[in-house]
Amino acid sequence: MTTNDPTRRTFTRTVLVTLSAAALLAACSSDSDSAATTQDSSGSIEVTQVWARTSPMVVTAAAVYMTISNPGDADDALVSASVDPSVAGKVELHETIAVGAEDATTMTTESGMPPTETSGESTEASMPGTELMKMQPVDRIVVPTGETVALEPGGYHIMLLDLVDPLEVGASVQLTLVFEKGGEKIVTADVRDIAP
Amino acid sequence: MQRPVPKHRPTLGLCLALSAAVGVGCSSDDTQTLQGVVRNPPLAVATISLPDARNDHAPTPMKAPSGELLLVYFGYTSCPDVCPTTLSDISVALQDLAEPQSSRVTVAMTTVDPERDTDQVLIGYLDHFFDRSLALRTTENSELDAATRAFGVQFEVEDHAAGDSYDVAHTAVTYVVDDTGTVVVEWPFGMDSRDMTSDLTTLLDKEQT
Repeated sequence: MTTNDPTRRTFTRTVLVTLSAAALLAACSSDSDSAATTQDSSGSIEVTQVWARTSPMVVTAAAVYMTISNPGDADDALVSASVDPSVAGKVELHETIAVGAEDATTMTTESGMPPTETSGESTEASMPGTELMKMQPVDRIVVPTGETVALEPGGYHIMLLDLVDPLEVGASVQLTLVFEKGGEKIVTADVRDIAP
Repeated sequence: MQRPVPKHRPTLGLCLALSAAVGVGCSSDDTQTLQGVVRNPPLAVATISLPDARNDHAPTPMKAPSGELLLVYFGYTSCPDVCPTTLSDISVALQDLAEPQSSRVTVAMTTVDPERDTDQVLIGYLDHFFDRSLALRTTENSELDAATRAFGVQFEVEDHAAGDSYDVAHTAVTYVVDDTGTVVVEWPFGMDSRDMTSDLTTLLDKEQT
């Protein structure tokens, strides 16, 4: 399966695209090289709505979501995240993707049956929300200048793996986020059942 | 073909598109107000039964008690993103249903990962989300296959060595089953909980008359 250009993917998934006039100008007037040299790295990235999904009974994995805004004048990217070893053994950037009909039909299901059969229509598997959903690690989550990228259920998320204890509602988890240009940013995720 | 999965999407548009594309419509007489996907002809799942870990593994048919609804979901507890999203949304939808309507709905989760989802884990997981649920788990591949085939569910366990962690790719549709074992509406992943509540209200009102 081909991996889309991350920037393009971000454009297609971004829930809140806020293109201010200034950002638009910046985007139009600078290529990525020149933008990098003018970037004032510290503090330009804003992270809000940070929360972790409760993991009842389960220590395998839990997801953390947030909203990342980049009011700065250069594109940036979330490249890694970490937590204290007392919380989880490993942290990865992930995204959930829907595998469309073309891929699904070539895929072997557990049952060995063709994935779509009910109506005999091969387009069925590509209905939004009905496809095979799978997770995959990503190297980076691009946050273009002037934009806001949502890490949200069914899309990008930060995965805490090998949890020491299940995440319980009411607890909180401190994460250190590392941005390509913006450097480190420490955020706190409240553990919740549903999105704030 | 891969693409991201935005959480909230317009279900009406989905229904119209589906209706045109594959003969699945949302416009038949009784179902025009439903927000989820109505298949024509509907899936019939009454002949499928799965063991309920909560009830001494008694074979439990895929149909609701008389006048009630059964919400059937296939997933696994180590699923950090998709499953808890859907189960939380269902939980909110049930909380938003007025009593006594909410007591006429039962959630049934079938694990597609019986290796890690022991009876105890599955029951404890479901108890976190729901007051009342069926914890469906079979270690017989043929039994799970028959069930997933009947619902049109796909799943794919990632190759793994014993003891290693792994993911299970799976479809994440919630099937609303009536007391005849007919799937009356299907909720795609990401459907808003308010739309779920709306569908349940519509269907329970109809069951009552």
